[in-house]
Amino acid sequence: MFRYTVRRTLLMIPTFIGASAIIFFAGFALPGDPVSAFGGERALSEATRQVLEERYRLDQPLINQYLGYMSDVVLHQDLGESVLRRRSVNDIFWDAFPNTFRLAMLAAAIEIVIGLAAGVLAALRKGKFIDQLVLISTTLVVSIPVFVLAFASQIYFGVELGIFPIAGLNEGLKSYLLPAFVLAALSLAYVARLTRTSLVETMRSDYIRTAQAKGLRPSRVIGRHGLRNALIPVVTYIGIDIAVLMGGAIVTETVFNIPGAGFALVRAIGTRDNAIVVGFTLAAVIIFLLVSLLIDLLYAVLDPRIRYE
Amino acid sequence: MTINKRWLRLVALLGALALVAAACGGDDSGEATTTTADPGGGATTTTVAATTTTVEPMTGGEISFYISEPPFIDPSLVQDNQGFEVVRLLFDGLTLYSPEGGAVVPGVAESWEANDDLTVWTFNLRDSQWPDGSPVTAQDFIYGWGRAADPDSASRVAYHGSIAGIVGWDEVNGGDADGTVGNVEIPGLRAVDDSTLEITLNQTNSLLPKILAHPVFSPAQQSVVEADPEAFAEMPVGNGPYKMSEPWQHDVAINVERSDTYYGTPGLPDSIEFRVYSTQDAAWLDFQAGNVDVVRGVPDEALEQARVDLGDRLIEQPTGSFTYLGLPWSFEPFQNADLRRALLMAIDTEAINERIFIGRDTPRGFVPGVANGAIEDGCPWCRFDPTEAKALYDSVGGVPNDELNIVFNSGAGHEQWVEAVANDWGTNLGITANFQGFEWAAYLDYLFGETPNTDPFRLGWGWDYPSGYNFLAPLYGCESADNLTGFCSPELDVELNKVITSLKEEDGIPALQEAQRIVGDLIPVIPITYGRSAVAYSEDLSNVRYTDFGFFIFEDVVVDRG
Repeated sequence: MFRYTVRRTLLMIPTFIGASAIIFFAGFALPGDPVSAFGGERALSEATRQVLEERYRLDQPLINQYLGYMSDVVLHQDLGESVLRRRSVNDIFWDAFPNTFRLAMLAAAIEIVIGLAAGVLAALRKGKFIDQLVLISTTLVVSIPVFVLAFASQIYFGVELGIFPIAGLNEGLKSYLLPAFVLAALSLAYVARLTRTSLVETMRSDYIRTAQAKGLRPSRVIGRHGLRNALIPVVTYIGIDIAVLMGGAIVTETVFNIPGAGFALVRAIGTRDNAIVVGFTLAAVIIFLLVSLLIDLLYAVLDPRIRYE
Repeated sequence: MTINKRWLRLVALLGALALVAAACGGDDSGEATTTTADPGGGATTTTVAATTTTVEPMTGGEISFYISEPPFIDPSLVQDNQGFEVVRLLFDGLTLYSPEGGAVVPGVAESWEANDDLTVWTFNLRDSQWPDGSPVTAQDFIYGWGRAADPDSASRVAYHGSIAGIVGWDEVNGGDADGTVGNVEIPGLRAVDDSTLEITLNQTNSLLPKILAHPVFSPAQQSVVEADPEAFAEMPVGNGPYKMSEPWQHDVAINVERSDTYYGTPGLPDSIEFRVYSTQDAAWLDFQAGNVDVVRGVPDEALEQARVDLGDRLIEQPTGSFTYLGLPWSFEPFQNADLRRALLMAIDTEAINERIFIGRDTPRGFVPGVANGAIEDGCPWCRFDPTEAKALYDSVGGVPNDELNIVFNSGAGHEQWVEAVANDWGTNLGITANFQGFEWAAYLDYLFGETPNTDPFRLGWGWDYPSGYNFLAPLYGCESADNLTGFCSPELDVELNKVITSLKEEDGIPALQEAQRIVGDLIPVIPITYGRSAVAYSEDLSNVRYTDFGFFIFEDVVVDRG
């Protein structure tokens, strides 16, 4: 297990370098540059342009820019500075990320609790009313676009009923509930479906029949033998989903006015603020790698047959 | 009964996940309640966070005001009207924009006089203080302006010093960067004594007091800025009617409170929360739920309903800005004035303003009515006349292949009217007009890049200071850097020069009107729409005013949450 962990961690290094290079060069391949975007409709004076290009290394060949940037990242943990806002990307990230993190965690908790419960119930009552109910409601949720769900819940719960704040994070946990539910809705449906299918499948397998034949209590058969094996694909899905949520939920954050990573990233892309784009994406890559490592390790916990030795 | 340990661990992990989320959220609420605005006044006042402020009927209270996140609130850098709104409260310059009309009123300068040819100006400063009690001196102005002019600050608004024509400004701004902001000498600025500032200009400029009302000409306290430049960017210390009560909470809010060291009439509200929303829609929805007091920028699609629902609480006011379609001279046919006239007359701009812009004013000239000296009858071609347009178009032979490609920046609400223009040109002139949207940064690249753009392009212009001159000279002057079409008319330049060199602003009005007639005849660009502010405010506010210059007058607003 230890060796596997070390190997996986080392494998993250080439992934990190590859991802950073792609993002960096892709950012610069787009038409438009951050200095022009800063100037806007009124062209900047030549002198000001020069000052900015020098300050942000934009006058150097692209490969030098990349190497300079990466050495700042690795040696000083410095993600650079936004050209348009003149703020350290580290500061911008640490302002935005905690909001995204809380939102993602809450959404994940919602999708795990409700999604799993619905999935298990549907699987155990296969073909019965509750199964149909889960099937229909998840189909409904999956077919509604996120922004429709977001606006509709905002107008209904926020404006009409006035029980939830509509925008911003002024009311603590309460502010996160509505966006977290919206964010969780889609994944929740998938988790429920996935759990149901997987559990139904598992319950048909030989060792479950053996367990039942041995006279184990149904709760033990389902909990210990059934669910535990059925959960492997679900854990994979949830893990990837959490990693994706950490990168920032663009639509939900924008609609509910949550100053998170997704919104900051979109704004930066539109203005070619490459330091933010690259910095945030790098952070997201690191988070993604860490979460997927965690998931792989969790497999071993769930399935005794999986051993990484 | 044995409980499997691994299974337990998984359950514990899930539980922990939920707890982390809950705990993080919980932490935040503690912090946040201190800055929560009382959402009172909404239809539903259920569980409102306890607000301890007791509200006086006449003075006091807090106003929450929607802004989008400004890039800067440092006066030497502030570049958008979101930031202006904040900086205007934090800093007072020599002159201030008047709440009524497009004039300026004395600020820190009590009075000013100029020599005979208006090239040397002397501003006499009143006794006023910084928050720490030290006096605001002429030296503070020189330092503050130097920060803007310094190449190290790479300020986008430094050009205002060039507009003013301050001696040495351009040389300083174009000089070498040395890594430190504020260590420059501008030869045209001299502190005669602590309360007298002398400004020397390159040429006569009767508009100087108006130009100086821009926030970039704010004073700054050298000792405070240099003690911690980064803190100053996050929490600028100024001499205005309000001061920041905490550092800028990026993407969340900028909170200001009444300053007790202000020289002028103190503002009525105790504090103002500039609340940052990521989109207009989010702000508008929050306004409807009664959670934010003022929304400047009611979304166009909500405007008709807002007129019905809000009545007087919706202020619709023209702003000193307009949107135009530029016809670049790099495309040779556009050098023919008759073609430009035909293209203008073929567009039903009135319909565009009525339907697409929900009742905005249709431009009948090149200077918006809010500007001093604007005339209504200066443009004989500014009308919709498809028959005459077609005749004129045919008489000059049209454009090659009858094809044009309109370019614009997408996602900023220009799609509809650009399409309408393309349709009008198609229907009325027989042109196959395509339109092509670019993302903002890519669009700028297309317009200003190496290869000159030859397509009709969308841009806008907002005034730098309240004068009609600012709508003409930068856009159509032969030598102007902001003249993006390449239009050039020597007789226009003569008139414009008369305006700027007249010894009194009023003396320049005839020339300004003549200049409008010249552009009205030659049609350097096609004006599409005049900008308009749509400001909505809650029932709890009264005595609300919005200036011609596009500022909200916070100081006089009465807040009554009763």
